[in-house]
Amino acid sequence: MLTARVRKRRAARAAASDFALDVDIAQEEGRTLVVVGESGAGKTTLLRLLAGLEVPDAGRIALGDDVWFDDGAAGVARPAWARPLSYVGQDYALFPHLTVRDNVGFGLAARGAAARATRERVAAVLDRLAIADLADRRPRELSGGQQQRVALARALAPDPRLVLLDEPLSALDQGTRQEVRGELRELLARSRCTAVYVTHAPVEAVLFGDRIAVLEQGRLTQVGDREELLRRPRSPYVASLLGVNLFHGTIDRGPAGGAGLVHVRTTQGSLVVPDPGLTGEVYVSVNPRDVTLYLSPPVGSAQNIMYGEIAEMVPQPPDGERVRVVMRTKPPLVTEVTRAASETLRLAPGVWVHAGFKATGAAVYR
Amino acid sequence: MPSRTRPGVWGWRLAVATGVACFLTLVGLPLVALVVRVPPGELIRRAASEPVLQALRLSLVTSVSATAVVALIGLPVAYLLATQEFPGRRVLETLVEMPMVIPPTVAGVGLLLAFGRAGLAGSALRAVGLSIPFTTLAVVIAEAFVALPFFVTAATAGLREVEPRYREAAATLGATPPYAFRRVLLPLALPSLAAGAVMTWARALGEFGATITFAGNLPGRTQTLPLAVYVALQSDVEAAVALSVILLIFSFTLLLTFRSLTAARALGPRAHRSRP
Repeated sequence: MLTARVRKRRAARAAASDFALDVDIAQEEGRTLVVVGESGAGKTTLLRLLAGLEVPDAGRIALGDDVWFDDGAAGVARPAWARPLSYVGQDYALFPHLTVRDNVGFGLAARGAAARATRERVAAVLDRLAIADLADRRPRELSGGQQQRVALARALAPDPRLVLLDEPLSALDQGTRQEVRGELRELLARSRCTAVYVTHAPVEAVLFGDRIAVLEQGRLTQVGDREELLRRPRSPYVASLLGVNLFHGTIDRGPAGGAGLVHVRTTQGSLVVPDPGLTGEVYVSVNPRDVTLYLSPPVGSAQNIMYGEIAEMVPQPPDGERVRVVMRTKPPLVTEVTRAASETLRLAPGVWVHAGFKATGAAVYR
Repeated sequence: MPSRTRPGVWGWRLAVATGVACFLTLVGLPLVALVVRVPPGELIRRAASEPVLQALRLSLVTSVSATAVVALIGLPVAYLLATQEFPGRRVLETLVEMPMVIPPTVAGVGLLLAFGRAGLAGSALRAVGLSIPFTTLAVVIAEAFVALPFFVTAATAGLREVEPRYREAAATLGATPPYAFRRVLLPLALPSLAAGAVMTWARALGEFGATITFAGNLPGRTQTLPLAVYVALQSDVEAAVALSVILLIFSFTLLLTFRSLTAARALGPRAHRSRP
């Protein structure tokens, strides 16, 4: 188990407010944790703390029984070079004066492996990544995709217990990225080392990770399996990246609209939802396709109605027959209607509409 | 509108040309004056004489030794300045520059008062049977003292120029600081270190004031080429000029060679500066 409970405060630069990273991670060994968050959320800082390139203000980092950092009485703070890990930064940082072979062998040689063992291991890794023919080149003679492969080879050659990957695909073009992503996934799965993979792209996170942690302004707002994240988003950030509507409120067991229904009081008003058998704070998510738009107040089955101005309309997919309509409500309500319906209703930015969804269209969870 | 007709361009070119012309007159003319004064045959005859060869040999040995000493003690200082933040850093940086600004004769007096017979460290040195002033060792020390800033300044800049990401990459691959220094920092900073060493050597070769004060002017032991020129000037101007020209040709050739070598290297892509 990789456990990291770290806190790191960074003094404000100019007008920006103080930034503080405060996270608690427990990751099963041999699996990959994807940390997703916007730039400035603290992703790189988290990796640098794990790597030992920066020292936390407080906390504890351990891989299994191996303690790397502890601010307690023991007072452990191992430098980067004394931790059995590898780090692949955004720009790879391949040593420009060394050949691909010597770059890949660097970690083994640095840890005192015999020359012969190093040679054999390097050959095997180069072979596995299909870059054996590049062995005698220098980094400046490689393409971006090739540099990326060399950086991965260099990181994996010493058989580290932990691999830290900081947006490893961001410098690649779209086609190469897809290719390398697949290879990387397979490689990590086969090497059975623990990996922490950081990205700002939600798509990347969903495609890559079985286990995803969402980092927002220095805090983990949701950690869980991919399915869990897709089905039950717990923060506006996750909801917006998945394109679903999310409300946060408290269950109110007053008289509801019907059997098996309860109210959820949110800051934007009260919602009628199916009774989840819970009390206290809950999340309510609504699929955009379950929201219907009306020009006049609807009569009938929709129990939840919101009134607002249309902010923008996006064809979905770009040439598709559905249209994603974002309303200027708080939080922005997203609906998806057919192109035909949008034309019939003459929907356009600036038009005021009623949006309604049935109680049964809402998913309620804690 | 073609750029050459726009105002200011011709004035600018004229200013640059004037500056270059003044430079050539100031630095070039004295050198040319020295060279044309002595006919080549006379020069060769003078150069082959035993006293000149002796001074030249001594100059070579001491300046190369001084460069080695400077590299040895300058590298740790440069490493410290390039990689660490510590209190007193500004003081150390200023101290490194001091030999460059104080007059060499003052440096010589300082060395005498520190390592001379009656100097601060004099009795300690005497206790181990060492007397430094007026020996070849004193020449090396004097030259090292005045030339040290050239190496440390260049080496610090060179080491600092190596991007932190390479040091960090080495650390995350398990490289201890000494290993990372040997295999990453040193090779990447090598061009700067070499440039610093060459400037150090050139400064040591031309050293006069500190040497004559601290080491004296003993032919064969402490009389380097610049000292020999000074002595010759008192009696035989032609000899002094010949010696000067020999020194001049020698250092010009070496500096030019080094410059050509580094220029050839620099023409290749400097990959470690560009990001992928």
